Amino acid sequence: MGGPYILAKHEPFTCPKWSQAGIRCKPYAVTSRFAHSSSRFIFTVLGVAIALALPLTNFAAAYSAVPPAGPLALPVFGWGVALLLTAIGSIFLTLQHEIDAWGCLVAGIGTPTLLVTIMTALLPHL
Amino acid sequence: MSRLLAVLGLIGSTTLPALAQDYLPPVAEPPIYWTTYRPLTTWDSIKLGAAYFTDPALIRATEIAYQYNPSIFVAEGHAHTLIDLAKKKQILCAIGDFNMASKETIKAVPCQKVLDFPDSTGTFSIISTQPSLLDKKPTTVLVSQNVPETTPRSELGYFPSGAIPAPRIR
Repeated sequence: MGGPYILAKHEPFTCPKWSQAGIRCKPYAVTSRFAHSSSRFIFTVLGVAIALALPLTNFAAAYSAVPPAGPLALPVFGWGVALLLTAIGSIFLTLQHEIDAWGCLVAGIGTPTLLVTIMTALLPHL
Repeated sequence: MSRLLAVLGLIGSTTLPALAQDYLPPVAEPPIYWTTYRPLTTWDSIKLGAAYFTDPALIRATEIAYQYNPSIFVAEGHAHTLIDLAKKKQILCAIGDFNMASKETIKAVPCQKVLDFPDSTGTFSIISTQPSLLDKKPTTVLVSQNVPETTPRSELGYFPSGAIPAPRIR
């Protein structure tokens, strides 16, 4: 019975992999020697910036044409806050779960893109 | 062969517009644009909010307007003011389901027609892009979408014959 991950008494434990089940593991941000590397943070922020470049450009174009007013002011503000929170959340999630700099870039792009995809999917029914 | 095509193309480019001017009916000057409105729902607001970040072209093609009850203005003696505002293209007079119980769209009519029958509640209304008109609050928020500006008015539904057309609010 048991396995290679059974803890010995008084023995400090760190997870070698994230895929282990039934054991609470510390995230890479705590255990990894790459956790505080600036390249991961830079690539993550770069990914989020790439993901949000198009919606922000669209917003600038739409705002310059028709500033949101009246009943549209609140939804536009709400979606803007949602995008901002998604960007911040993406940075935290990516730094927590990705150890490789290129992985940080991909994850940084992907998470905000999901929200933008949902927003775009709403439009055909408008 | 290419020389022949070039000559034909030259002939076509010079003569066809002239032929069109001779045979096509004259275009009204200045051009008059029409649109239709429907009530703005909460779901519409959410989707239009998303469109600000995903589809600026849709935002440019969308117009938010406000519907007012004409009987209130007439009762307070603002009929002539409304006529002046209509001439300045600041308001639009319309016919349609005032209570929005049905899914009918609202269509433009001459303002004099509306002010002659102000008590026809549920039939006539006044539309403005301003959220407040002569210190009155609107009864309904409307939205107009996806209507190309070049659509002839005859394709957009009811319009009384011989009436003076009102311009589209921009």
